Amino acid sequence: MKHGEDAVGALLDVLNALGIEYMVVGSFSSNRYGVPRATNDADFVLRVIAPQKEQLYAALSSSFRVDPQASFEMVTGTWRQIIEIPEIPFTIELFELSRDPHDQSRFARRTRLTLLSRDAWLPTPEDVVIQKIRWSHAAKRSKDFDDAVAVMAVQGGASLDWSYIERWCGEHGTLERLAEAKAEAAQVWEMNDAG
Amino acid sequence: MEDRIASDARRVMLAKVRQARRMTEEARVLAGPQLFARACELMKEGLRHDHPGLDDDAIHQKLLQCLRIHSRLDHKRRLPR
Repeated sequence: MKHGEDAVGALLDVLNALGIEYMVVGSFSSNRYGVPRATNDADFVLRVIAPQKEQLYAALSSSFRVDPQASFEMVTGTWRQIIEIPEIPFTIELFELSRDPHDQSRFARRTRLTLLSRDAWLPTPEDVVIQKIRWSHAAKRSKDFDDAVAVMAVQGGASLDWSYIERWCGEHGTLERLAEAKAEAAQVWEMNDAG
Repeated sequence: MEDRIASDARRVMLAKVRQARRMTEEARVLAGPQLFARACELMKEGLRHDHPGLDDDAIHQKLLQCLRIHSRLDHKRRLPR
């Protein structure tokens, strides 16, 4: 296994074969909808029961190093598993679907697309924007804000469901952050329209 | 001067957005790990320059060490995806 995309593709094949419900989140999803940036990790949200986890680990090749210490994610109270592919290097993080209302909503709205030449489930661009704005607010990371701006800029103002985005940002207390990001994306729309 | 910097930044962003729109969605996805792989190669060149006596395996271990430090800084502030 030479590249990060090989690892993601191999995991997608296993998840699809086992019929495990999942969606690809994080930078892979924001790159698909926005301006791609370098990434050395892939994140998945899974709706999975214990026996399926064992089946999943058993099906992965020896290139995947499953961290024996699955961690308990304090914020959502869910399971988190890190898988490393040290020869590349690349990291995959698996998160259990939480009871957080937006986590539930974006999972329900996930859409089946082609990713790395195979079927894969991804969140909608609106849900990527909502989650990135949420992280940028809570974790104070500029790259999440930049990712949200990039998705809005590339997708275009007319194609996104703003009422859905604003509703969830209202729930999360991030409307002001959203407005800042949208203002930056709007500058790109205007410049693009002006030629 | 600040206005000039802001204007230049907007132009750069516009160029990136236009480039992204010209790419297929699949190409955008592949670009992420490929850009990182290229960055790793550049880091390794720097490490080889700084540590001329080390073999490829040792250089790779040093790269992993650098990435672990970066990852620890990043994970301290992360929420689940």
